[in-house]
Amino acid sequence: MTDVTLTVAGQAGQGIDTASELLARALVRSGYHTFSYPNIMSRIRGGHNFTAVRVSDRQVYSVPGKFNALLAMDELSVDEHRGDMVEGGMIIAEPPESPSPRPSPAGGEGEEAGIAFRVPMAVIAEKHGGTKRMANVVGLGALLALTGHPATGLRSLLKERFAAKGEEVVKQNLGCLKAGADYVKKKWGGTCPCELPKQTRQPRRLLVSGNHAIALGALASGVRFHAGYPMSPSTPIMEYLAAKQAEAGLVMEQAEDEIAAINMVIGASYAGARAMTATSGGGFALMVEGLGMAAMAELPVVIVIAMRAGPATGFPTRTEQGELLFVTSASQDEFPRFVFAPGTAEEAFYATNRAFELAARFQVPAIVLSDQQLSDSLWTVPSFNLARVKASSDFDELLWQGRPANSYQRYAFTRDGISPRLRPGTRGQLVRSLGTEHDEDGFQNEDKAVRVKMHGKRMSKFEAMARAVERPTCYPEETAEVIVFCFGSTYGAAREAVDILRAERASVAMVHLCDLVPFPRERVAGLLSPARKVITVEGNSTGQLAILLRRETGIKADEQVLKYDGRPFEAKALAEEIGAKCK
Amino acid sequence: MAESTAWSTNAEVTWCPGCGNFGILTALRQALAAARLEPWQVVVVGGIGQAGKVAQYIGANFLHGLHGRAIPHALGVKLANPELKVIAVGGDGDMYGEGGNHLLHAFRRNPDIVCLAHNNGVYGLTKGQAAPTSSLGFTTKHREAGTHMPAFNPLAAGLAMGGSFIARGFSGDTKHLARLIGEALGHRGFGFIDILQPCVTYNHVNTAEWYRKRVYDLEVESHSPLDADAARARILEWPSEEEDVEIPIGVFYRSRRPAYETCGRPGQAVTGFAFDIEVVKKAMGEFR
Repeated sequence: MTDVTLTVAGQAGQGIDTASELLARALVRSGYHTFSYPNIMSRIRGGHNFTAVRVSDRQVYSVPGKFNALLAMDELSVDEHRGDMVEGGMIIAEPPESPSPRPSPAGGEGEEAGIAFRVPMAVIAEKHGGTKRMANVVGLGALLALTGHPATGLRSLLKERFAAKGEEVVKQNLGCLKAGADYVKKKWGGTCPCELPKQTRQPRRLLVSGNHAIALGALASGVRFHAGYPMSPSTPIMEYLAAKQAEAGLVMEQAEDEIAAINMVIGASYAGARAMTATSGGGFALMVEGLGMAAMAELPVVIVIAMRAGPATGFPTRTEQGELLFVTSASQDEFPRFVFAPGTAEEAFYATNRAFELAARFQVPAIVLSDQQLSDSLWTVPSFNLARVKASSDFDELLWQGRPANSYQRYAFTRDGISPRLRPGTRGQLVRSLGTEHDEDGFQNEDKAVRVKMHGKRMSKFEAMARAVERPTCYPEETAEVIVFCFGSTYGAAREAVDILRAERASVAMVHLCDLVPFPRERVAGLLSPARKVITVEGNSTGQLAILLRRETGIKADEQVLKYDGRPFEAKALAEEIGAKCK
Repeated sequence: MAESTAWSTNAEVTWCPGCGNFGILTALRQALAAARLEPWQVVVVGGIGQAGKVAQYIGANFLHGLHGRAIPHALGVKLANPELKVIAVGGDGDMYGEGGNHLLHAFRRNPDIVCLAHNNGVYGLTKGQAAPTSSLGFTTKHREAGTHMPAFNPLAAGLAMGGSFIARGFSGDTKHLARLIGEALGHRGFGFIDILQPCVTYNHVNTAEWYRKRVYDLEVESHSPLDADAARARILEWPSEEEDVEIPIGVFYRSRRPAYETCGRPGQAVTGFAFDIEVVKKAMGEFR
């Protein structure tokens, strides 16, 4: 079994993102599974960024532990990650400008941990590509050569990527890639400390970030309107949809602030468009009044929230799961909503589709709760199954043909609490929507009986909504002595921790909850009650999932694993923590 | 053609007797009737406060939303369905206080929306606090020292932000106001009208009589709304701290700019359910 980690590190602006993405994509195309987690600082230039690409012949779900190879674009990266290397791992770096005070032989010979391969990447890049900026491609060539993996995939990827920039640029990049490979082959011959053999099968998989999986899920759900204000780590969603406007016939509006964004979405939803916004916790804090407006007016809206560490500005580019209780209860007064917290990019795609469909069916707000780890990581996923996607019209205009003029009642009382929608602009009918308490016609009304009935109508949808959500995911089976209970992006590390513990013969399984609100009380209670021990795992300091679990089912978690350092859970460390609490 | 009487509803009008809003409502109904629009083609988006209630009193589609958010609501409606005639209505708190940022960007965007800002220089529904348009030194029940800020000049802000239709009306002259609203309805862009009105309950300075003595019609003075320099000079005449100032009403400035919803947009309504599986398949393929 192959499970190695190749890390690209350097300063912001050195092409760390591009290099690691090209590397992962080339490996996915040649049949590997990858998981890349970008460790980025909130700055445009300088600093220290690194992306660890985990490569395996099985599906991988979480951030790696130690690195097998490091492509260091600056000397700081070498110093920073020396301790992160596995025994005998390889470090590809520039020759040091001045003799290093540390024992760092110029390549091929052993260091404490890691073997340094000193490759003059910038010099080679200038010679073959004309610019130092292509040093990352030289580095990729060297890295791939040292794994013994064929460079054909990366070559065709470079051709595709730079085709638009002209033949010359393609040639320069290919030249750099080859020169990097040639340099290490010549100097170190057959040295291959981290082997990545050619895979026999190359299934067509996607390499996609959580953000892009959500955006694709929105496209597949017929989204026609997005308004947003850029906020890490959610911004790629609006950027992607902006680029797709003409092709998909949708409107992406960059709003002046998040308050404007949610209210534009409400306006578009009122007009009849499938509408969404995406933000992070701080932006959602500004949107909360609008959330209540959508609920009161019974207008479907989809809000994606990619959590980062807070409060306030917190860690703009780092992960946390600290907004669970906030998003499940944010509002004035009460109203029904959906909250989905997918665990993987694949689940994010389908959960986004559920969010659109169920928001439309029940005319309520739906929240897709992501976080920096899920949103920013690059995942290898099977092609999304469009046959599994539901996409249906929200309107039945035929219903209103031939009806007397002005007979439409936006908030008509019905058996299921759902009043048929109509688009404003329908001949002879008027659509009245409002955030003030109202009667069936949509006029403001302060009568107490009307209030009780109308509030009841809205709240009555909740039971049917609870029946519409999906079951929790159980891995690898439903029953075990110890149940690890988690939500959102903790899925990957928890699942792999369960694998590690089961290999040590522990009776442990994972229950992961994506569809959080309405909380599937009976199902969760049925899965958790028989366990000898329930251990919650979540990325916050107070155990918000445990609080929700107790509130909804009365079940008290026996143990909790909490993490709030802005970094994702790591499977091995998590397995140790869970293992210690199992006893 | 719809009669002006048709532009009404059964909702109980809850304004104080003598409120300036009545004149504005009448003028809006007259303008809509004259514009040969059908009620189902029109969406009135209301903010919150006495002014926003207009949404419920005009017999059209309405979205009666949140304090300060009439403009983003209206923009969402217009971008989603450019065929709808959209009118955003709010008070001075709505448009100049809570929603001030949206107003600035609406001037810049220039969507084909009519924006009516009822400006009585005081907060009514919350019982008499100063508004952004209250004059310097305006005293309130609990702030006897008065405000320490000069009044907000929405027209100057509009001109600075590239607004394409900048006007002021007066609720006491419904005929003039109806004509102004008609012009805004015909303008392809952001048709902004600041509407002076008395608050009979809380503003004892800027009364109907006070305004009547001071307003004058720009048209009578042969002002050219195409002349930005002249517009700037007229716009800066008021608000002013001088006692015997005159207040111009009418169209200060007008220019031709493309309407925002036509700029780089699908150009048609996106309210229909359109799901093209080929677009999604292609989009997925780009991640291989």
